[in-house]
Amino acid sequence: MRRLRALCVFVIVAAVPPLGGVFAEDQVKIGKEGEFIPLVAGKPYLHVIHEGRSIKVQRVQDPDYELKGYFAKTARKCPPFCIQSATPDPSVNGIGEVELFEFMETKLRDGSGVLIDARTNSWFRKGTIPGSVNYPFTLFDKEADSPEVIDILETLGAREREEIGAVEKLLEDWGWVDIGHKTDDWDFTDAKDLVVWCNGPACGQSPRAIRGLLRMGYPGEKIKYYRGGMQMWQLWGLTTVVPRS
Amino acid sequence: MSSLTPYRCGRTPVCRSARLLVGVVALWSCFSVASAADDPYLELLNEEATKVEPEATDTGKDSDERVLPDSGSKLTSRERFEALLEQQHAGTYSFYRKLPERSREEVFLDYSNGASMEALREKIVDRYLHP
Repeated sequence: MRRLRALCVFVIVAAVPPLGGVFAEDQVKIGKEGEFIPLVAGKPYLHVIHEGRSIKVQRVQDPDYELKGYFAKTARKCPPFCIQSATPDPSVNGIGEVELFEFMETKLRDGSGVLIDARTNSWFRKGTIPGSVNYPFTLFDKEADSPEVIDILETLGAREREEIGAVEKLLEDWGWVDIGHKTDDWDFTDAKDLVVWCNGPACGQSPRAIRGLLRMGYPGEKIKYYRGGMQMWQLWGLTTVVPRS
Repeated sequence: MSSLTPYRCGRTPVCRSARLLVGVVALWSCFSVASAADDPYLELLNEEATKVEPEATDTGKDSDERVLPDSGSKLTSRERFEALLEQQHAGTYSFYRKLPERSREEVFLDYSNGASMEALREKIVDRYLHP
């Protein structure tokens, strides 16, 4: 049925006359042939909504551009700024930039995903990846029943479970009832997919946030770790924004 | 025999208060240890953050405000685009108008940024099929 629908759409669209003169005049060429550096082959840029604005995410086009400043540094005091593992937990997968672009164009766009900048606010204020919201890792160190955590978990699509009967509880404890993505207190069935990131491969803030989320029962399969973080994002010359608020 | 039995605090108000006090002190010391362990890390993080200059590589020229300096012209441009689409690409428009506002805005921004009609049509169909 879905294929038939796709075929119908294709036929209708293909039957529409090709681009008219008005559109041809309005087109803006993106650099000269072969000179534009796209995000990935075939994708010059993408748009994400950040604080109500549509932000164009693309790479810096200056071929002489070099990364300078804090994120160009290779050495930092360790501990605490030590190189992190590929993933903070076996249940959580790490992703790279290409997967993050895809996430931005799908789940972030349709609201089923959240891009979390897990750094403290002092970092967030200096610049962030477009589309990110700031949930500092310290929030996830708090108890699961604290008001801030409850607020965040609800924002992320988790639902507080109502009191369950003793028999139901017993059945769940014995494994006779499939509890899926539920804990005693929370139902994460409709929880959003998350991509959590911080300053880069030597940053421990997002791993801590992820471990905090897992402790609260957030399903590992709904969390992705962008280990590259701000450092790799900037190394590729990708668009950053300074939050207004 | 009774001299060997260890002293046990009963349910007297004094004992209850003492137990409560011990509990509070234990809890407080746990929190203070945790925050003491965190403080140096947070301090270092804040110290590091001061070394970063606020920097945005988004120039704003591709954001909706810059493409469309005021809301009046935004409406005009968007309406013009939609009218154009309706007149010249009725099939594509029929899918476009069924898209959610966010996707329509995205299509319009792509158009403003110079995307070809072919690319726009592809995007519209894609958003329609994969809402």
